[in-house]
Amino acid sequence: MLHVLRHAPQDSSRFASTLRSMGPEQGLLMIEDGVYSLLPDTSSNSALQLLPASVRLYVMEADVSARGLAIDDLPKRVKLIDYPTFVQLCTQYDKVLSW
Amino acid sequence: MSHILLVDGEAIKVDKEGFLLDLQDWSEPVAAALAEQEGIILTPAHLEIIQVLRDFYHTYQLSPAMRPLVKYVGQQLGKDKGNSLYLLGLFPGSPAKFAAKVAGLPKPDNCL
Amino acid sequence: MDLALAAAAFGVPVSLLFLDSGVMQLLKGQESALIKQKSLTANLKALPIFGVEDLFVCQHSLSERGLQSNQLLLPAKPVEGAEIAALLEQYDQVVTL
Repeated sequence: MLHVLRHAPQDSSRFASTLRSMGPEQGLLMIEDGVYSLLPDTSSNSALQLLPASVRLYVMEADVSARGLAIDDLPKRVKLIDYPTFVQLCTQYDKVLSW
Repeated sequence: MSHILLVDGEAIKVDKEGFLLDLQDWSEPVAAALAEQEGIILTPAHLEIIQVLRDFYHTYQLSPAMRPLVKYVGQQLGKDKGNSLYLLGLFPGSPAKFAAKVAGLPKPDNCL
Repeated sequence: MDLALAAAAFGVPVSLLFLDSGVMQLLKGQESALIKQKSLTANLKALPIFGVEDLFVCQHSLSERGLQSNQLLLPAKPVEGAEIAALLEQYDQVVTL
């Protein structure tokens, strides 16, 4: 299953709920304001780093750059993706859950 | 656009499918007139179902689709009435839709 | 809510999981007419008659809001993180409302 998070952890409890409801072999894609989960030195960023290595993390590069966040600051395990890859991910996972 | 149904000299507003515009307008004579439009002569058996439907609406704030209607009638009046054949016999075609209309309820959202 | 009832009316097996502020919809004693809103309480009570009988509620979301499951207007099964993950995997389609 691919979880798609599109709200900032500072604004809503969706971030926390997503992490609580995630299984070990699932994926998490952050788009739109969901990319704020990756702000450096935040508790959300630390929480993401602590997820099991089997959880795949993705972020929409355009949404990161559009919000002025530095690509270099992103954790190494987060994969930057573009829109075609987003589509590909949606077909690759058996289910997509949008938060 | 509204249409008018005349009941005992009173003008009752209905929509183009014949559903009451103001649910407060409902009464047994109005029900009889609504039923007549569907080619149904109301009997005590019809009124019993209509009363159950109105209870359903007041309890759940919803007009029931066929499945829940059957289940609810079964709970209220017993299994011999809580089946689609019995309801189809009383309200031919689409029982959930016609019975809701005669009971003065809004058209069920998910009624085909 | 309408999606759940409509799907159930067509015989699709439906379950509901109440999460985050969604759990507040299950609180008893809501008088939505006072603010001219339709009562979701009445609609929620219709779930069993529409055949939606598997109701789940996130225990964490309840605790966060100081609620106990006996304050709810419907019997929903409390579930925790790992159970929620398993639950979501179990269904063919998951829709967030």
